[in-house]
This record gives sequence, structure tokens and C-alpha cells, in this order.
Amino acid sequence: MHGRQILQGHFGRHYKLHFIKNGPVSRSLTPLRFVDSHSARRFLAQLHTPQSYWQWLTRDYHDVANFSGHQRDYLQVVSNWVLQGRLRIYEVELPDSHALSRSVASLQDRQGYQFQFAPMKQALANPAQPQRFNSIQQVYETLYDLAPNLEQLQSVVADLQLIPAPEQQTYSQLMDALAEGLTEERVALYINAPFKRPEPAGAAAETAANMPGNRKVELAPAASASRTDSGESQKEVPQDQVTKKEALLRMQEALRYRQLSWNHEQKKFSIIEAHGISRAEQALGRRFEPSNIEGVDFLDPTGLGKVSLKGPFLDKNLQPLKLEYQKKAAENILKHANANKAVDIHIIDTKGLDDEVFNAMQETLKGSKTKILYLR
Amino acid sequence: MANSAVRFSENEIFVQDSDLGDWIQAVTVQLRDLIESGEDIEWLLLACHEWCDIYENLPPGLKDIELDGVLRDGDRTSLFVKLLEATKNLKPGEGFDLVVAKRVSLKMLEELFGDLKISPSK
Repeated sequence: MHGRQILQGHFGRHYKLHFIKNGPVSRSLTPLRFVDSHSARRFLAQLHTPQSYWQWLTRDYHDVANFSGHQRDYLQVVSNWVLQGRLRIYEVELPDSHALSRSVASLQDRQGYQFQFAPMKQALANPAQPQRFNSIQQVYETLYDLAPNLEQLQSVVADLQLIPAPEQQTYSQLMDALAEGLTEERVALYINAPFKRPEPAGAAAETAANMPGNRKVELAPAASASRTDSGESQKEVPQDQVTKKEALLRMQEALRYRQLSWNHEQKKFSIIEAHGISRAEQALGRRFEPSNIEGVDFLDPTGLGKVSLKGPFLDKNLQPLKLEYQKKAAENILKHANANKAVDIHIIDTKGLDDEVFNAMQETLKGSKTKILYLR
Repeated sequence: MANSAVRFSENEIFVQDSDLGDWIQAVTVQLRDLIESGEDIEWLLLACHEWCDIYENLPPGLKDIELDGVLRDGDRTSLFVKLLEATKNLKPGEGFDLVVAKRVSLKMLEELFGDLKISPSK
């Protein structure tokens, strides 16, 4: 009983005591802070555990060896350690708690590996070690290997509450949110090897020895996966089992999944483009006509002539685009302005565009031979 | 309807944004056959992911695709041209407008690769 390091406190909350000598925890977790050893002691005293627990906790430490009689105030020793930062207390959520059960999301890859995503607060309470990543590229590779479809991805991101309204996000935005959660260690990933039943020895296997109650049952995952100290398996498939072809097929499948969401939005109507057209028509007091000329978006026969409309710089939720996309789009505008000779005017709807990017764009386009009109 | 550009080797064509989406989907379907045939086309899969990012995130009329960075050598260019030629053999039923995808592939073949003499390095 003393072996446990998860203790219950007031209001059904749970806490993990973590010695810093046992290694780092996720950087997204923050230990409880106490102003002095008295407040630390008060906190520890309310945890649901017998007094003997504190003695057990200090058993391996020399600095309590010399205590005797009433000096053996183990709770005070532990309180001092908390204040010194030697022992840290983290609030955790238990895997079986009702609140948490809603936030654990599980997906299976093509080989039967179970990918379990959970809030990092659960990782401390879980004896298994979550998957470790050395780079963000490795995170993306793992996610593309898993190749979730759009619906699965939305479900995982919603369960983990990574971003608001996941059902309105694109595949890449959802993938980015999940990758960011894993990179910043706000999300823990556990990859469990597929459960494999023992192969029957042949027809004879269907005998009494194989009847329920008699047959051997494999309790552990297949031996192909390496195991951590805690018994949880980590994904480690021999290279020769995962051929290059299989890896490529998984990447291709991930691509197909992300595109399945396109058909709803792309068919000849784009809410962002409609927004831009409406703003341009209102601002200029014109009514554009469709164009069949390559490179020309609209026609204004009695006014502006052949029109190209760029922007606005909004995402599908009509929020400003990420800065990296704004900059890339601004670079593209320059190429269009220089190379597209078919149009008489480029209308650039700069709604959503960062001031700095806008100023730089204006500066660069000063020498353009084609007329440029900015909507701000 | 907004037009974005596809560029390769000093050549440039303009494609309506929605047509570009159909074409990217067609290419993705075609990739499966290439993988099955044993081609190592990781570079093309990565490029497709990048085109998806561009298509999903850049503003209307600015979803430009630059092929020079992807088609770095004769082998890649040759494979890509074969892929464009094979678009016409695709069967309907994959969820995108096949007629549009074929039209875009043909346009690329004629206007981006028409005057190109491809010499694979092998």
C-alpha cells in the first residue's frame, strides 16, 4: 500500500509525489507551490494516507537516519523536501476517473497498434511511459503513419480539447494542433502493440484443451514490441517488417483522408472568396461578371476591365491567416503582379493581413506595371 | 472565380482554385498505382502534402504551386509527366471532378512541359 505515489486529497482530487532524482516530468506540468514548510505540511496532512506512509517515503534517505524519539517527525521532513524542491507534488487525473474517460482518445493503425492520446496530466498517474519524440518531424511522421481520417482526427482533437470547434478546422489545422500538443508535451501518446492470440496447433487444437477454462490465454502483447519497465509496450517494429511500400501507402492514405473534406467546400463556392468579392463590389460600387479568360477572375466591362482578386487573408473561420501563410501569400502576389499580363487590375483584399506584411507588400509592389488596388 | 498559378521552368499557367483541388485529388489517387508498381515516390507524396497545405491555407487566387523545387532532375520530371499523361485513364468515382482533373493535367502537359525534352539521368 505504501508503494503508491498517487494520493487522494480534498474534493476527490489526486496528487502525485515525484522525487526529482527520478527524472524530469513533462514541461507542460507545473508542481504545486508553497510559501513555507508549514503550508506544505498542512497540504500533505490532509492527503488520505496513514502517518506511516511518510516514514516509508523517507526510508532510503540518510538525512533522517539520525532522528530519534519525538524528532522522528517524518511529515515535517517531507514538507521540507517539498519546499526545497527535492520532492514535487503534481495534481494528476486518474485514468479511471469519469472526467478523464471522456478525454482519452484511441485510434488503431493498419498493423493493429493502438494509439492512445491522453492529456499529460494523466501521464504522471500512468505507470507506463508515454512515447518520446526527438523532433517535431518525428511527431508528424508518427501521425502520418497513423493516417487518421478527418472524422477520427476531429474526434481526437475534440476529446483532448486542443482547439475550439474542431469540426470547422481543416485536416492540416487539426494535424498541426495534435502535433503541437505532442511536441509541447500537453498530450501524451501511448502506443500499444496489437493483442495476438496464440496460433492453434492444428485441428487437434479444437479439443478439450482448447475449451474455455482449459485453454492457455496470452496475457501479454506480442514479443515483437519492446517493453518498458512498467510493462507497457512501446512501438518498435523491426525495419524489415515495415517495408518502404507499406510506408508510402500509409502516406498516400493519409493524403486521401485529408482531401475527403474538400468536396464540401470547394465545389465552385468558397466562402472566403465570396467574402472578398462582396467587399470589393461594395467598396467600388461595381458589379463583377464571371470570366472565361485564363488568369482573369472577373470582368467589369464598363469600368475596371479584367480583374484579378487576391485575398482576403482569412482562414475558413474568417479569422486572420497564420503569419507564415500571410508571408507566403504576399510573395505569391508579387509573382502574379509581375507575370499575369492578362489582367488590367489586381484587387488585393488585405482583410486579415498583418500591418507589417501589408506595408512590406505595398513597398514591393510599388513598381508594378499592372494597376493595383488595395482593400483595407 | 479566383485563379492561382502553377509554375515550372519559366512557364506559368493559371488554374481556377476549385479545379486545382480536383487535380490534386486526382494525383493522389494516381500515386497509389505508382506505389503498387514499386516506384519510390516519397518525394511526390511529400510534395502532395505541401500542395494540400497550400490549397487549404492560402487565400483565394494565391494557392500557387511551384514545380521547380519538386522536379529537381530528369527522372522526377519524366515520372511526373507520365503521371499527367495517365490522368486520362482514371476511372470516375473517387469523389472529385474527373473531367476537370483531366483538363488540368492536359493543360500542364501542353503549356508547362510541351516544349521540354526530358532526358532521364538513368
